[in-house]
Amino acid sequence: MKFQKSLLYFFCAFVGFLLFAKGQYFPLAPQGDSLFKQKIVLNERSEKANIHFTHKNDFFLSERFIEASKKILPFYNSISASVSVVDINNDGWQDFFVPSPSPNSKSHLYINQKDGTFVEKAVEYGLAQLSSPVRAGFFDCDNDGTQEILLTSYKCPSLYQNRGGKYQRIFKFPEPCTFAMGFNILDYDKDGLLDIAIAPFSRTLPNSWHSASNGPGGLMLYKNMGHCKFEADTNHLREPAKHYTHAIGVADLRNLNRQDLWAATDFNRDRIFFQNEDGGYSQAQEVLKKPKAHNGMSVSAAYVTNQKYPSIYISQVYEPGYSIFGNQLWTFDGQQFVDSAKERKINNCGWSWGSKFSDINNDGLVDLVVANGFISTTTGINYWDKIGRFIFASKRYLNNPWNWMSFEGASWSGHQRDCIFMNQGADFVNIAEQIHFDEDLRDGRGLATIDTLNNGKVGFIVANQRQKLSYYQNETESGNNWIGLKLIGTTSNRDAIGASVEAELSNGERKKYSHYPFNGYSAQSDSRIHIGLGKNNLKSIRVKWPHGLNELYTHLKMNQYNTLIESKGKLIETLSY
Amino acid sequence: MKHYRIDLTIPKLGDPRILFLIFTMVFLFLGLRLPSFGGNFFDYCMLAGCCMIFDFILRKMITGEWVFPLSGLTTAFGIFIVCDVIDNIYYLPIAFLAMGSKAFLQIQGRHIFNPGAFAIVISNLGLVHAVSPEAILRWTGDLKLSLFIFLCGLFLAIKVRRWAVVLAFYGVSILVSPTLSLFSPIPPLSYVHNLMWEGIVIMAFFMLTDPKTSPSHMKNQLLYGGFIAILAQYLRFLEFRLPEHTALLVGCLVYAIFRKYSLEKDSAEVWKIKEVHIELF
Repeated sequence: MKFQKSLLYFFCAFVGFLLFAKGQYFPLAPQGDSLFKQKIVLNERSEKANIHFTHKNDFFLSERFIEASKKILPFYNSISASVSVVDINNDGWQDFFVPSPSPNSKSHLYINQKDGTFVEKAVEYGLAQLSSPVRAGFFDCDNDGTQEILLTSYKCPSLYQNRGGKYQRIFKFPEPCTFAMGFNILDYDKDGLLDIAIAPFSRTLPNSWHSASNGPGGLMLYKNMGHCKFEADTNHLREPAKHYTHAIGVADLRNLNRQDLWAATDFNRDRIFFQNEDGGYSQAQEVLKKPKAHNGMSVSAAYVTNQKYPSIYISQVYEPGYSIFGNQLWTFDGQQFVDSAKERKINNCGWSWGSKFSDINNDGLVDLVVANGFISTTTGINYWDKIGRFIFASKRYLNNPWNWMSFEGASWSGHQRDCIFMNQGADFVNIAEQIHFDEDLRDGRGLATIDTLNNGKVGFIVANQRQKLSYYQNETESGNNWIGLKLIGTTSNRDAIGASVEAELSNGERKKYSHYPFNGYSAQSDSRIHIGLGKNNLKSIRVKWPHGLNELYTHLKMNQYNTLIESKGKLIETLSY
Repeated sequence: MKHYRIDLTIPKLGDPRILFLIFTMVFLFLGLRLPSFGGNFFDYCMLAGCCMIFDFILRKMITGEWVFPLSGLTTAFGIFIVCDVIDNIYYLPIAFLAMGSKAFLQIQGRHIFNPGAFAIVISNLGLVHAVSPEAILRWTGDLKLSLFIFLCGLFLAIKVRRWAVVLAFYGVSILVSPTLSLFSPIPPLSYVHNLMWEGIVIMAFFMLTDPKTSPSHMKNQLLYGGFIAILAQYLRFLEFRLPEHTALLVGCLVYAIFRKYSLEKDSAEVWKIKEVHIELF
């Protein structure tokens, strides 16, 4: 009797706590209008827009593999879907390119027809049949007004240039080089020529889930020597450690007018590189407060509120019972980076990949879209159940494919719905289910923003791994004001990458944006800056150009795109570098 | 003027729990020194504080004695190096599970389950959004570390006279695993590698050998260790989460029931304690 009574007390106390914890930490999602007041409309319009692209990645075929690796082929073929938004023909309308790495597949280049539809023209541009392409970055490396392409593949990265209407390879990065999803374009030495930061991600297996030391290499800088010739620059950055890097983000982390780098690292802690006064980089140590999630996938940066420092969003793996910390939102507090993703309710989005901040409803608060899902199948077998059989072992055991469990058609965090986190000021609310976003639960990877109709309604393209591409047209009728900016550098790099913009609104509020379209995961977003103004009017725009000019632009037109040319504004000051 | 006095029971230096405490402190240090571990000493203090307070209060409630909460302190080490929590507030239910199981779930005056193992299993199965066993992956994986923990554990197992439990656990596991490999796609060496991994070594030497929840007679120790080994391998075969720790809980329960109905008297008296009296004023 005493035992039963004790058991009852024990049980009641524990259940009581669980109920308390559920209310505190896992509030049930509110439904309907109480969730988010404004009606957000993001419709999947790929069929209507004439987009018919299915990503194919069977680069790693079973016959090429040793017996041991065959059983985990889905894992090897799991990360290569990317998308690049670019105005390739300089007509002022955004086009996009999606590579497909399978040997017999075709990459697609969609040209914007200015009516919400696209026409596929990869063959015409010489971009249909490339050698195992995984990610493309369009940028103007010689400041001539046309876009060159940095193309990474399962082999060495290459540079392509438009010659007579067709793209041709003009530069191949020297050996040793490897497959890379993570790169960013920046002008770190501020010489007016865009440089490249790149980090490899190999197909070897990690020797640890949290402190892997057998990755393919560290972060590297390639300096633009002019005429689109690049040379490895170990003077500015040298990282001998071997990591698995998924993405490289660029941001002025400490508000010092620098271009700091954040490497989203899988199987280890993220690495942060602060830019020094002389332009070189030093790895920052112990600046993250209690970083527990070690599966960094993408890096996005934004001023989430009117704060001094930008916040860095790192997508991670979230799986109850296994990996419980989820995505992170790091913000510098003057000494350390503090994660506030849980407080802002943006930490849980499954196995997250591409992420992008954008003001969906032009209310002046940047929202967040996250693509997710790793490997989806229909067998009902869950690879998380199998993983416990082999991850609890020594490092030597883990990086040998013989010791991994066979997939046998298993899903691994598959069939997950992408997230749309609407910014409410203090926190965010995920409305993806409410608006039927990502109904097919595809395995999203690269995620880019695109304003197809130049109407200030920013939509999204999600490159899904080995699945159909998702194209979301933003059809939200918010009635809010907005302004779009196309920046053209003259002494700075022509793409104005690295510029920062501050908009002053009629109510005195200031909104800050930085121009790094390659931030995120395996994607290049709309190269124009889009700023939601809410019901306010615009007073002025202040641009800090990468080369140091600080200019003020007034009399700009709201609710349309404005072209700002460096040195054509009212000069406020010239920042020394 | 009224005099107040507290009669407190504290462990002697020769008490094996002191040794346990020293070893687990070393393991905690090994974990904390790694950047990948994530948690810090403050987090541990939170958990240890919760465990010690629950231990102290519940012991007083159940037995009426003030006992120094050494069990709370040692249990906290075991849990901290294994479990991740999404927020430190979850240390409260985990500590309650551990110390509450010790205080409430008793048969014949002895607790049924190893408190640390109980808290680890129940919290990991019941609080999947908030607790995970990922912490142990953050600081393990090195064979040299595994060997070090193995040797520490062996010394402790001998000290508490429970080495036969460990012997049976490892012996039977090694015998059973190749058989199960025949029926599953698990690589044959998986089981062996798993047994050498630090998490299992800690479970085998530091939880399986708990004198309060394991038999003292040699024959019973062999049966107990062997039973847990078979069950653990079977649960692993079934892809059950935390198979070894779950098997340990089932083993503890089976042993407690066996003890209740067995004529054989099993002794758990290996603690060395002394009474101290504190005059308050």
